[in-house]
Amino acid sequence: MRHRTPLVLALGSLLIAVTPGVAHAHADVVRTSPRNGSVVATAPKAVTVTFSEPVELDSARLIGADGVELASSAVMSGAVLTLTAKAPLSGQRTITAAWTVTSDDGHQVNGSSAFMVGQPPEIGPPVALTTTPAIPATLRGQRIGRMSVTFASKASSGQIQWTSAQLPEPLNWQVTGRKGRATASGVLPFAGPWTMQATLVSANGAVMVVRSRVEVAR
Amino acid sequence: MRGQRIATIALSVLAPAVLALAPVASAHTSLVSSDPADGAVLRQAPQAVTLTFDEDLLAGANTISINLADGTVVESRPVEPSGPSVTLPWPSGLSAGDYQVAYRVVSGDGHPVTGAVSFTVTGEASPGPSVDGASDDGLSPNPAATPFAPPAPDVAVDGGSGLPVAASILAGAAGVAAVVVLIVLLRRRRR
Repeated sequence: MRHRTPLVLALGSLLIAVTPGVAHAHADVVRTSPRNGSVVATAPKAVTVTFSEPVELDSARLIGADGVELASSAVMSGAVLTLTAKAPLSGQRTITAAWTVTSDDGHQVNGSSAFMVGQPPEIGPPVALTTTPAIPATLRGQRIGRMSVTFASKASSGQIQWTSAQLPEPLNWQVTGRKGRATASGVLPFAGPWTMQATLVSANGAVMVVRSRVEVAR
Repeated sequence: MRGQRIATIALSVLAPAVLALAPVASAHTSLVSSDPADGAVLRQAPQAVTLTFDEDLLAGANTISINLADGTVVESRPVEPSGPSVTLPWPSGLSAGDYQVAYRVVSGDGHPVTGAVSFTVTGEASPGPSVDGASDDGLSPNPAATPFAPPAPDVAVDGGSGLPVAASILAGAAGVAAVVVLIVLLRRRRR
């Protein structure tokens, strides 16, 4: 039975290698422009969201740095959603696009993407986060704008989902792990309380869901 | 032995194909129910945890982890689905406390779904059916492993070893190498 070990390994590694590449039946966001979590020098006139397949638009909106909706028009063309602001966006420190769409299979997906305009604020020292389950974690940047979360964890991958009262459509940050630290960064676009739900996955497949709350200052 | 090898090679070639061809009509999977229920307070440890989703799950791609409130992973193993459900026997010898049962499953359309339910066990550990050490399939990680534990009590700078990442790369490389070697072996035999 010794022969089985490499066989099982081979089969297992193939499965692992192939799983993420499987064609999804539901619509994923392929990219947003400007990119989620980026800092752009000047405000664009429009935000585009590209899905993995043509979708039906249910609702979409642009939100300014104060968490209030900005007047915009939303046009869906195939797999690309374009949100065009009716007034110039230049006065906004952050801009968030949020959407709800229905894919071909009838499944509704919502999501959001946020970016910052102008100079990023100075990022302060890391502040400890209280999480459940309790994992040593820190947050850098307590004000609106670019922030990062670091877990002292051997997780190798994962995702953080942020939601707030103004933004029930989840804002996602990718987690990458290296040398016992798992980090994710992005833009939290409004002041106020945010709910964090991080899913951490270790190299051996163990899963943990870590929750926390963060108060973002203006 | 040879038949077994051929079967294995066929499987390793076919499995991804089957995955790729999985039905595309189904919607996003979500957890429908769990036993114990999320938020439950139990006087006695459960015999097992069962998670039920709204559609059938793919075989060979599902993991359940049992995590403690202090971030320790007490159990994490691959589980085989029975239709839309996966079950993990509760390990014996766990004390009272708050538990999180986290999952990463793959739905019929090949989409990974993650999440967790939490419950509290107030009573002492029930003897239950002993599942620990009953079998070692060589796939399960060491239950005592704590992959999420911090590398060192001091969070500040440069802790950790990076071993899990290296290990996963090595395992992946070993797997690919094993497939190549097997295919070569098989071809030689045919000649």
